[in-house]
Amino acid sequence: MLPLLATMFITSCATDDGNYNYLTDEEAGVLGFDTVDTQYKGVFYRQFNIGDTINYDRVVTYAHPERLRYRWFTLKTNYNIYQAEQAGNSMVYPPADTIAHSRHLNYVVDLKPGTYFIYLMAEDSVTGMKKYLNPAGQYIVVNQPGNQGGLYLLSEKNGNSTIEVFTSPLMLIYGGQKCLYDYYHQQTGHYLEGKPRFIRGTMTGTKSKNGYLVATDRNLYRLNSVGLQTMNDWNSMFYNTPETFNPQASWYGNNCDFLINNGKLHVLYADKTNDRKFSDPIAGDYVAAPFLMKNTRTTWRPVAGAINAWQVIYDQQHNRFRPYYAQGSQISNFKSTLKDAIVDANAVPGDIKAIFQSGGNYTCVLTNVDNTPKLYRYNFYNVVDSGNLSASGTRSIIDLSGCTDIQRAKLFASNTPGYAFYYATSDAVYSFSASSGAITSNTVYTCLPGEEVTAIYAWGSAGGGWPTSSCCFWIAVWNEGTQEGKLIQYEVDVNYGIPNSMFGPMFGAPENPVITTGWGKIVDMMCLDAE
Amino acid sequence: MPILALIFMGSCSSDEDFYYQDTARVRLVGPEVWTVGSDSLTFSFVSYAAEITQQVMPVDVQIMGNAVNHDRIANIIVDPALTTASASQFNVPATVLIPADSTHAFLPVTLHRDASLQSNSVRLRIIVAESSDFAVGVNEENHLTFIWNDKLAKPSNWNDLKEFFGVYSDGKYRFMLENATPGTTFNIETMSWALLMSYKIKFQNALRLYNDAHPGQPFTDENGNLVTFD
Repeated sequence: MLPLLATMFITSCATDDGNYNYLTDEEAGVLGFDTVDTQYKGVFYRQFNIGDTINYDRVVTYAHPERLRYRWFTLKTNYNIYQAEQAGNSMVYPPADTIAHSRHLNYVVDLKPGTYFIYLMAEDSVTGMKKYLNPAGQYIVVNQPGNQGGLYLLSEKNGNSTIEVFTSPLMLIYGGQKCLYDYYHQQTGHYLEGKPRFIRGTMTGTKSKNGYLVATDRNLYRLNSVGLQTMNDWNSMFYNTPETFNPQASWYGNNCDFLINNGKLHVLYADKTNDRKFSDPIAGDYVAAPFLMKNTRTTWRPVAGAINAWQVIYDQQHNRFRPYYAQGSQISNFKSTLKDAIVDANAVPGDIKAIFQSGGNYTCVLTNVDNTPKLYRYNFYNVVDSGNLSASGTRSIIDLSGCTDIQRAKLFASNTPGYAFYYATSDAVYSFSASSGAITSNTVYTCLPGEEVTAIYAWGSAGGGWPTSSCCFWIAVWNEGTQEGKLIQYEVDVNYGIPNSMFGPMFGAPENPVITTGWGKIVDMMCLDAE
Repeated sequence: MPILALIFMGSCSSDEDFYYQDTARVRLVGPEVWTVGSDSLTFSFVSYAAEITQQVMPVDVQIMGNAVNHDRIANIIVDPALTTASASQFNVPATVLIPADSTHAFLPVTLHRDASLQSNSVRLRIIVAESSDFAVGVNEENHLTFIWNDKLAKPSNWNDLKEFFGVYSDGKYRFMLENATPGTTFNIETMSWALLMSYKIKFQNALRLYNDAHPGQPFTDENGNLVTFD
């Protein structure tokens, strides 16, 4: 009996046709998006304003395109991350907002200002197979109305100051070329009192760098990026207004607004309760040069025991660099320098012409030592203070004797993604590469008759997913005879400092340089998004 | 009905009955910021710099009645029974002139500062006295009491302030008060972090200036400890 039962079981398990119809791989198909985005490349590489039209399409590959249905939707982010938000007593993820049901997107932006992820979903209506595409690669930005992004030009007009704005295709995120002449006056109906000194990013009440600190020779203004509304001026910007008006430098970083006025450092902590007022001058015996570091520390894999200063100043009274630590009430000091250090941060030699932060986050000093121009390079960024703050071994001191006219230089520019720096005399602009081993400078621009260089700017410490954020370099010139300013935009190689057309052709902006005219006398430039 | 009408008519008095009809009198109203509507005030010199040796309290002497077309004199006296301050510790004019066509005038009561106030409070009570022009006003406002001192006491909220100013000492606290805006009370409830930090920086700067001006004799407290704001 048992053998018979066993046989019955075995044969009953031999085959099982079941009641399923399996599709072959060919029959099922693979749903995919074309990886080469040519026609609509760059559509999402920009910020959007309410009312802008987004025109986008993507080729979908699939065995059964007739079965596909599409859905475009957005996900609202919170601080650029899609995460749960408080809704009553619960934490809920914001629901998706469907904006179109066709593969080709022709959408007039009506989202509220903020950041969003945008997706295209293709779905097989028979099998339910889905595929998602994020064409932007990351989040998109919808601007506040009245918030104009771009390169901000601080210009002189009739003895007062105004702000003008320039955007170009190479800048990617601003949607093409625009010249917004006299923009501040157009927005507000008046000018800023005094001749221009500098313009930098700042906070306007939150931790975001969303405003502009504008210094003239008569006043200091904190302007909101929306409509350039004045939030504060000199008299309302301090707990105790300094006796001497002399704003020299400012920088917003580490959630702190730093200002150097008349050789003293003032701070405003945006991540602490504040009244949007700068502190009393940070205590200590020092006279700060008009220099502030752009990047002083990192939170991504920091070196254990690194300096971690919130800011580093150059004390020109004692010829030394000095750190300022978080929430400190006084300036501090670096450790004593070891004898075998190539450069000494506690005793900077010579007659200093310029101090700036460059590639590798090195702090560079252009100084004349025994009538020889030299570049001294220090590193205070993500390193331990072991008594040797030399940036690059023997290359911590570079002879600049081969740099044309550097002794006559009046203007300097640099950025931290690259090792080149730029300098300008009245009639020409040059660059020098500190990483290539070069011993001579490159001529970037020579003024036409009647022209004078008034400002230079290399943007891009922000970097991070923005391909051209480090390779744009601008020169502003002024023609006193014609009373007209000219702006020259170059795409440059960040390490060699020479014009280089790489990203421009890639993103449909092959012209290099791009020259625009009709500007005021540009004295300073900055781009909030690239600082 | 006619009787009722007569009663009503008789009970309706003229508008003039709503106006003051009594003898001209005066009353005293202290400075609102100090008295807060009461009949006394308390004041401390401790939060003022050492060179501030007196404080003038403007007392508003208000008339009860109509203004007239000539000057009038009100008399003010010190109530000795309720005054502990010595004559050198205050100054009160004996009379105040109410100008013609005016309904009030200011009486400057000056409070003086001396060393004794660092350990004791003193009291002064002034009262309205009858004059040929004015009788004494309502009881509730015919006097004012002043209490003042220069006593230093550790703020009850010092634990909240330690983050900014460190360990407490009387010497440190007096130094802070001398270098702060007069009348400052440090409080994390009413001051932002940034304002308190700004004060810390201010005191650091002031301390450095003091120590630079006194080489070899840095600022120490009552216990002989070096004062710092770390």
